[in-house]
Amino acid sequence: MKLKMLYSFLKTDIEEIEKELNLAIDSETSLLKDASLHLLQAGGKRIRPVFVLLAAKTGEYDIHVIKNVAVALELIHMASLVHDDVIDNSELRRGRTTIKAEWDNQVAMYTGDYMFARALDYMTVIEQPVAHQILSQAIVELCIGEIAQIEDKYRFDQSLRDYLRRIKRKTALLIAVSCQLGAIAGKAPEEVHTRLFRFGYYVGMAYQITDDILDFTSTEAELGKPAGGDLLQGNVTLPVLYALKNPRLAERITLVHENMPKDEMARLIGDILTTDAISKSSDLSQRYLKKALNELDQLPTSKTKKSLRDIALFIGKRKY
Amino acid sequence: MNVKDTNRWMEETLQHINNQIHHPYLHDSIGAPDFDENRLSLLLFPYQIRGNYSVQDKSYVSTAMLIQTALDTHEKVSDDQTGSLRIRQLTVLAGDFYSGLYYRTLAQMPDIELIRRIAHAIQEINEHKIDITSNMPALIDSVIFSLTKIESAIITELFKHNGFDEYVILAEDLLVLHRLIKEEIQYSSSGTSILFSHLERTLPKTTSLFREKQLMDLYFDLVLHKKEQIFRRLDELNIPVNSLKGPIFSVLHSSIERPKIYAEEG
Repeated sequence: MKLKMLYSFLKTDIEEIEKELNLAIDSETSLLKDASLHLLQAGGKRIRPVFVLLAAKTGEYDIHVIKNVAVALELIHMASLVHDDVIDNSELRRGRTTIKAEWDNQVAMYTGDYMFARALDYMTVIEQPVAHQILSQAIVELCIGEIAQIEDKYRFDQSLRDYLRRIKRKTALLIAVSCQLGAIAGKAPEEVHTRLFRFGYYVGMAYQITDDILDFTSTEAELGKPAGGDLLQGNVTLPVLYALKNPRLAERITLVHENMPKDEMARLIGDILTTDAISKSSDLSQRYLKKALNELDQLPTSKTKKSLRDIALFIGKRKY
Repeated sequence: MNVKDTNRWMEETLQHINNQIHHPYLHDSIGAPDFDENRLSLLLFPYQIRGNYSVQDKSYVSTAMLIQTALDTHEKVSDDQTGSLRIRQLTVLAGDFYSGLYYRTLAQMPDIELIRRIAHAIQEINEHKIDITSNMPALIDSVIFSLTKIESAIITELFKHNGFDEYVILAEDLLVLHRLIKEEIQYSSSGTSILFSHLERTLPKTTSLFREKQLMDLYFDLVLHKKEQIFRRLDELNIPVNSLKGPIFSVLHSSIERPKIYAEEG
């Protein structure tokens, strides 16, 4: 089953969000519009807007209000992708050239800053200060997480706690905040929006751990980049942390560097796959997923609750 | 206006910003950002006139400085592939981090109307940046207009928001004057400048020495015209030039003269 099928009842509203995203980047400066459109047309799962809409269904759902939060969250995500491509020096994203590759770093920086400002503009339709306090704190944490990722590169003596804190900031927080802000914009009670925050946080953690597992278990064709790319770039992910418990492998892993020959790297990945690193990582992902479902169990039964549950399960089982 | 108070306000504001942006790893790697004291002194100017500067005022001024620092940090990200990748990565993230901090400050105040105004200003700034770097407007007036918006949109939005509307035009003129001077310094040292490449395009083809003289004449006409506008505005505001203190105003106290070599040849 495709992810989109799980929230098919939102189809009209998702189309409305897509329309609004196009309007959001409709700058009079043609190059800025072209660059933004270039990324927008590359598509994406739009998972954050979906979480916003679904969470808003727990309160007073008014698409004309809620869409502003959904668009803001997607624009923030898109702005971070544009800047990430400058950070990673990436030429391709979702099968298309990146903005930095199509134009240059300067255009990418301006486009990212523009999108971020557009996002905040949309957010200001929501007058509740708490919504802005939550989102701004998440953005600061997200940046701190990305800085930590660079600081921790090739640091093989890091702890599980370091890893979990990093992925919380890098991925889980924005998903958690998407859920929480959807509920706040729908004026859901505090108990509901904090529960949805926790749900999003646990789903986000499971999502990132799954992503880190797939970097080892997927093929180059599925990933669009060589398997084990994270490790090659010095990103110490959960499977690596578990593999490091094996002294023989630990010795080889700590010697990884960005210019490591491809065949040597492939052998190392093959050997990591023979350990219990993947299954243990998968166990932890499932534990987060279970916690997410537990949070949902406390909410009243509804179509929304079922969709959130299905999406969480889909994320836990996804293969690419 | 008390110079001692202004200096103290400047120090306190810088301390306030430094406390917010403190990040040991980031700043050990790429250095702490340089804050533009010209801009800070201009931000403090209305409070100097008013004679007081509250804790909330300090938050507003710090926010404007943080936004500018975020934008300036992103200006440092170039296409130069010879530099360290890690430094480029951290420079991008530092700018994003400062952006997050200004949003957090305004959210905590809370001042949603200013978040909206600043968001509009940043959109406008980035549109003008793209215009002058990529689209090459034909008229020099369009370039000056874009440079004015790029330099002043944040401060003027804050002034309007806080009821300091009468200083908006003065702020625009002062900031663009400083930008013109910076462009000349950059052109003299590296031979490249957005302003000078636009000015060059307006010139007819002539010998290189004469061309250089024409170029500098155009530049000095722009600078002197801008200075005249500032003096006129100060006159309208009934502010004596010699009462102005702070780095942003130093350019008004010294004369800007055409270099002798050009004057003699002219």
